[in-house]
Amino acid sequence: MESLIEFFKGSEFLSDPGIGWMQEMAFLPHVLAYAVVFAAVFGVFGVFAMFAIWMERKVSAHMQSRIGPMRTGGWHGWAQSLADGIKLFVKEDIRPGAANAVLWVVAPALVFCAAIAGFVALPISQGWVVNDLNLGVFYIVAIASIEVVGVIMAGWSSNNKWSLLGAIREGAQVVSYEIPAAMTLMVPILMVGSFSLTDIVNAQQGSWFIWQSPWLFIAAVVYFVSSIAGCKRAPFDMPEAESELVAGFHTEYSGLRFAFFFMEEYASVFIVSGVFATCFLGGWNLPFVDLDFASSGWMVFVGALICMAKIMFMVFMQMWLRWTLPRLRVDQVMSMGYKYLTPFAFLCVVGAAVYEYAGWNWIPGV
Amino acid sequence: MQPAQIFEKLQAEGVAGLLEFAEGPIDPSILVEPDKLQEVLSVLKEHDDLRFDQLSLLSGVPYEDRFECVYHLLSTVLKHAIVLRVKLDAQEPSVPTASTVHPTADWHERETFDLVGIRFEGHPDLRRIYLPEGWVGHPMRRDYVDPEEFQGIPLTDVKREEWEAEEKAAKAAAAEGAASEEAAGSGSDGKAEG
Amino acid sequence: MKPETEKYTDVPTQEMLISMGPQHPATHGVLRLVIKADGEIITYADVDVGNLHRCEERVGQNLKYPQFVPYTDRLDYLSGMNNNLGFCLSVEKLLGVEAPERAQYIRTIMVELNRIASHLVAFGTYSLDIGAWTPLLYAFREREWIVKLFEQVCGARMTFNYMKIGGVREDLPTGWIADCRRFLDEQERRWPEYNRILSNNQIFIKRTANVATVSAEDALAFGWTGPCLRASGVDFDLRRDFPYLVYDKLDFDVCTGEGLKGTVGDCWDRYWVRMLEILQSVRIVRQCLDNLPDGDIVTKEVKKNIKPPAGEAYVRTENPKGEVGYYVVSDGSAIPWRVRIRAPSFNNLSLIPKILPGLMIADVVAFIGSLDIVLGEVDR
Repeated sequence: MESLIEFFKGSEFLSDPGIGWMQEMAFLPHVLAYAVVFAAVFGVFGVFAMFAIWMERKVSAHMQSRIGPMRTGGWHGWAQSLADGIKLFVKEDIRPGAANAVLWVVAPALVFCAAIAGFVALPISQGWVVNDLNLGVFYIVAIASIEVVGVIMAGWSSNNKWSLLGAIREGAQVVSYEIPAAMTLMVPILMVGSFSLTDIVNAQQGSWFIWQSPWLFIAAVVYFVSSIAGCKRAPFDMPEAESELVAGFHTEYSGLRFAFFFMEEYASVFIVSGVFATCFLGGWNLPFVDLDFASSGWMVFVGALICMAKIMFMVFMQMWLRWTLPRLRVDQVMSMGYKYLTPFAFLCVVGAAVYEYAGWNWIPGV
Repeated sequence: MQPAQIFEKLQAEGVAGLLEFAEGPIDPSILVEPDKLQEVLSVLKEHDDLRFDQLSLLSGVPYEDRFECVYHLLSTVLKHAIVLRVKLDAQEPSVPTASTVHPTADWHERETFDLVGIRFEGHPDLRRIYLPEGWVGHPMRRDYVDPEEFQGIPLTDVKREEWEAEEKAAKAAAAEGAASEEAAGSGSDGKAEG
Repeated sequence: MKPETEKYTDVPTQEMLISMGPQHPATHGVLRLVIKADGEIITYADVDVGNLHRCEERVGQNLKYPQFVPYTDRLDYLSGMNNNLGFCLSVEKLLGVEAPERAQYIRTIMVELNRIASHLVAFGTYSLDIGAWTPLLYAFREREWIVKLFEQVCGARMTFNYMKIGGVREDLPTGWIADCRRFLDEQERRWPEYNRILSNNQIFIKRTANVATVSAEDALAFGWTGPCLRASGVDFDLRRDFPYLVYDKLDFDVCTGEGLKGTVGDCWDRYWVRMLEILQSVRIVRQCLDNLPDGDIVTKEVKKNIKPPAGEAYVRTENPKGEVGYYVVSDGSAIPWRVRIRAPSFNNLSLIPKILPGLMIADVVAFIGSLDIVLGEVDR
């Protein structure tokens, strides 16, 4: 990000005397840099969302003994998501008359922004990060929790008892599962000594965290499960349980507003997969091989490909679970979170801390 | 046990209210006095040789001169079945409820009340089950005629046209009234209507 | 598992009146439940049926006997063959005729295939209610076979109108028996798949075992029949105990609930009894195909203009959902005086006001799914 700003500051374009008034605006390089990053992030996210939706439909279809979209766009229906996006865009905007106007309109926007804001600290490769926050991991966890507010707003303002039920369930579920999610993320942080995701990835050169110690392995599993619950995906999709609550908290939304909720789900999926990939799967590092990813532009690009491959694999795992497992009842969800995942998370943190302090190693020499 | 044997057993037990045993045609049945219905059902349910633990079906059948309520009973233990019948008054058919002995009769009796119009005394919650509350008439009766309207919705074309004509007339009258007011130049504010 | 409901006296709570309305993905049709819930726990439930009421019994009073057979398809639209059969058997009892041997075997085959089809829908939609999307597609993959077999025989996939009073309408086309055998092999091969994905799935067991347990006394008292009654432990099957068609010549087991994953009579048991019955039906159809005699498919004793003598008849048959009975009253003319239909789903549903209070809202869906109701026959 800084490099982009420097680039813009030093550019010929901005120092050309012919555009004198632009020179006086010192913030212009910043604005341009942010605009580029904004476009890049939304571009990547948009393409990812469309691809993920298509992938979900194909993955679910093949698991269900059918074939999924085949016609839109020709080859295996690749343009299906595009067509769906256009359809949602041009749909009539219907608002329930008795819905609280302001909250009802703001809710999808809030939910979407909270989810997208997590992209700021997520690195895709060495140096390819919007802003390498030194509080990276916790920033992502914290900002993603704002969507709970948005969901409860959506459910309550819809003036629909089913939506309200879905929203209340969601509030309970997501808030409860942030505890094990955050605690398990403490384990790699302890190992590395820094919150920054880039540092965590760099510490995994040559050996990924997931097999370095049982504490990390258990932490990875617990984080994976809690993050699925945090994304409200099956088997934890009680808040939007289609067969009970029609569509849960987003029942009354249609068209573009529904598209916001839908994209928020895929944004969360991407971010938690990204966090899992960077914290436990080594980010852009290959296993057992030490590559210097900062050496050249191409290496950085290769690193990005490796990281994206890992993220897509984790996304596929989430989809696989969604289409296989039934839904847990909300009290079972809560009991699983509090009675099983949280104690395991704490156990991992304490265990890892003790081992770090005592300097013990699981695998000699590592 | 065959139905005839069941009837004899009941008579042997001294159960009151058994009127006759109709041998046929086809399905033999026991005619029971309405007042003694619950007793008969209890004996049929509890007696060791009878054990009729399930009421399969409760039907209300309207005839020209009477109503009949028919009970088909089944024993899952002893694997036999029997039919009980009750003859009811044509004007105000009413019979004690069977739901004290067989809770399944609850809904069947509601349905019979709804569609045939037989009242069941002692039923915990006798209200219509299929048709909406406030519906007039019992569809399974031979003299049933569909109502013309229900809760403001016309149910026949004739009624609908009647209402539409009425609405038009009312609108025309209102417009005329307004026009005549203006023409008379009454001391109104001169604000245009609606 | 019944969660505790502690009422905190200093925090005022309010019960929510929810209408699990006629339009709902999980009520298996246009069923309306009025529920009062304290949070997630239900305190009061009432059932509002009648949204699909077409007064078929009144229709039965206006049409001739053969004209009413297509209407029976529309009652339990997932088991059209069974409903056709019930009505035809009642009228045949009034007439005093019996269908020929070949027709009886063909009827048994169709009825049992329809049982498999209906149980597959129950399995698929139940998994959808619980949240697993995939088993539905597996169930419908097998059901597609059956429906194609039916289409080859009678031309229709759902509303068959195949049974005639006195026999069946069409004979089996060439190649049908071989197709049917292929399907039976396929169904047996695929059956363990259902268990791997759903029956033994821990989450499914957590959602259904020990949920909404119904005792045998309650089940009998409220008129439960069929797989629901057998799941509560009562060993009663109309095919074995009040045999009709050729069931007395066939060898099959009656499956009852044993509380394998929880208590006897919980939702898992009701689901499991249906799964076991699929295998038993496969067995029955195989025996029928092996012993299929030649002969007529319609008895010659039934005239074109059916006028049974005055009287009444009630024949019970085992529908996939329970006991279906047609109480037909004849006054000697060509049009029945009264056709009263005993629908198993109607009785199965009547236990709801008693059993729902105390459950959670998610359990309502699990319970209704385990009942396997079809609103066509609840509302008639």
